[in-house]
Amino acid sequence: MASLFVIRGSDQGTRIELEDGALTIGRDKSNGIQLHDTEVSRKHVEIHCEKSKCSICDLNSSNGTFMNGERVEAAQLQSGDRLQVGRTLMIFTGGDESDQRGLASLVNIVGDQHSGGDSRIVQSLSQQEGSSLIDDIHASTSPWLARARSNLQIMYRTALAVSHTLDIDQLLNRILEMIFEWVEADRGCIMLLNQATDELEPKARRTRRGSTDEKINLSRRILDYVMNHKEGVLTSDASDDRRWDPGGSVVQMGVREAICVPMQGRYGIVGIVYIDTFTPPGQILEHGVTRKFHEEHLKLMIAIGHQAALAIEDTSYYSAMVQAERLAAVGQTIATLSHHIKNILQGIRGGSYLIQEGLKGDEPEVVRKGWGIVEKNQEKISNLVMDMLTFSKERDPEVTEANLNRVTADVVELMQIHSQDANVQLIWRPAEQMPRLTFDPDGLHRAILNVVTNAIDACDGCESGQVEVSTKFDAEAGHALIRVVDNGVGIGPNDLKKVFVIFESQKGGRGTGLGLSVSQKIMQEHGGEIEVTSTLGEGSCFVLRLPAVLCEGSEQALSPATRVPE
Amino acid sequence: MPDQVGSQRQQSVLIIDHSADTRQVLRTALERRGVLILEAKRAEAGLKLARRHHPALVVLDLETIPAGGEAVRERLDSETENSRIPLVVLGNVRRSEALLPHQSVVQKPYHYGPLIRKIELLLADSKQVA
Repeated sequence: MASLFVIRGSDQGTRIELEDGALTIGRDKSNGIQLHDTEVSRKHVEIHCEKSKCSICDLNSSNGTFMNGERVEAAQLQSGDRLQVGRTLMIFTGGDESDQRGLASLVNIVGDQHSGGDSRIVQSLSQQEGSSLIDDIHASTSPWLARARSNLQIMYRTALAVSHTLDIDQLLNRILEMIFEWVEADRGCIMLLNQATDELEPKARRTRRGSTDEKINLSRRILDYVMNHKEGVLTSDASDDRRWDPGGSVVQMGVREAICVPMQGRYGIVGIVYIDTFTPPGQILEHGVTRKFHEEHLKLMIAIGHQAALAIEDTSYYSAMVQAERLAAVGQTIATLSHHIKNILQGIRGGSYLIQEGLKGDEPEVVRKGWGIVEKNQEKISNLVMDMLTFSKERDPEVTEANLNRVTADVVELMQIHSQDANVQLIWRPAEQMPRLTFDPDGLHRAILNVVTNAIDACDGCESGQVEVSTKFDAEAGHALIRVVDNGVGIGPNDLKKVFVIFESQKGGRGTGLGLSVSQKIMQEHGGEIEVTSTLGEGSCFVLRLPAVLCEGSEQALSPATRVPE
Repeated sequence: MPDQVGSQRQQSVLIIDHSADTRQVLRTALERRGVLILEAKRAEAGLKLARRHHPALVVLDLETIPAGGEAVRERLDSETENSRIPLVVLGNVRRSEALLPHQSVVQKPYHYGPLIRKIELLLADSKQVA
């Protein structure tokens, strides 16, 4: 399906799928696509799609509609076109489903017996050998053919370099390297246009003599000419005939020839490629003026510039997309966290207000209520911070010898008050046999706490809500299990897939969407996992599996049941 | 019903808020001022209470309106409008969103002092009308 992807503007990162039919883009809600951009008109532009062919029509917008930088009233959209309305820049990608359907009927893959039977493989070549066609430059007797082959080879290698890299700097250096292998240039550089400042900035440079600190001075006049006329130029300071006499400056100063070409991409010029060469006075006196750069070099340089520009556009489009997705993720994180913190803040303000009221009226009961609320929210913020720390890599698990029954019992004890508040019965059945194991007790505490908290919340509002926490040690399987079973609302099959996804809370405004992801992360750090089964309306069962790493001396302490039969 | 008899003199406020903290704070603060409190965790339940008890004022936290629950919101709006019950909305309402004359908005996160004062004022007004 055709789509628009917003790469700049307040809706950055949004992908809009374009279904068949007409759709308006604008600032207010009545539009099919609403953009949060004050420079977009209420009804700005209409998009009409039919079988993935899309066209646009400006709806007399005040700031206009721009396609690939040019203002348009109406236009047909092609894949890769940039559509700008207000400050919002979008990239159009055409759907090609219909084309694919059409192609499928024209191109067939058939078995041997149906193909006429007379096609056979005459010769095969690996992909690397594709260039050997043009490798053997000097074998030919015709100098024209040799040159043509050499030119074809450099284009082939440019195309290869372009297709093999997503890193712009690496690509630019590789291109300069190839140009230097092909033409007798002394110095070269590539400058890219900074989209924000509209200034050319050097990105890669190369000199033949290895003197890296040699400065390249580019004439502003030539650069402007190349940028404005979108043409490559070949310059020589010997071209001025009047200066060409034995006493003239050229003989004394030598001759500098240069080629400067635009890097013309799909949407405009992304930069320039510059190379130059210098013939010292001595050589001129010996051989006369021989030009090293010719029109053919210029033509080929223009082609190379074009190839490089396409690659750069793709790369910047790619990084803009990555950047946009990252921004969207950061935005979601901040939105979720601030919502949760706002609720905690609301609670603390409420508690403080009651304390203040109680103190004013000298009513200790009101003060006590307020204090209870403040304490509860203090606990909430502490849990939130601990979850965030665990999820980020700030906190490494500290593995030590510990008793899993003790750790689980601590959680149950801690959650008793919360479960009483929610009118949920919290039952604790520790394993009778539990050797001391090696794990991070604080981590496990948090992992179990989050699961138990969720179980209690799942029972909130249920009649005779019940949460049962139990532990089990299985010597044969080599693991310890913590089971948390509730008879609460349960989780539907679709939501079950998302329970461990960060920021996917099923608890509406109450959950951070951090708890279970944190529990899972902790268990995974221990080489364990969490399994969940659930039936909507009946309840859920979470099993935390901890691989048993026995401590020294624990072997003897193992359950007698597993040892007695000998 | 006993509270109907009492409601002749004692004003009642319906609090529709999912946060137990907020409900407890408002209840404690308003009960000290002689107001009778009705509570609901969800908008649906709140609507039922509003129809049955005709409180003097309704406090509605917008987060109690579930996604796609515009119908409940509309029924609450019309119920309170028809019964001339002031509706205090807690939450982030866009400035462009049209408000009915009986509604007022308190943006979150809010302070309880001003909220309680606002409720007191509205209750005093409705007492005068009555």
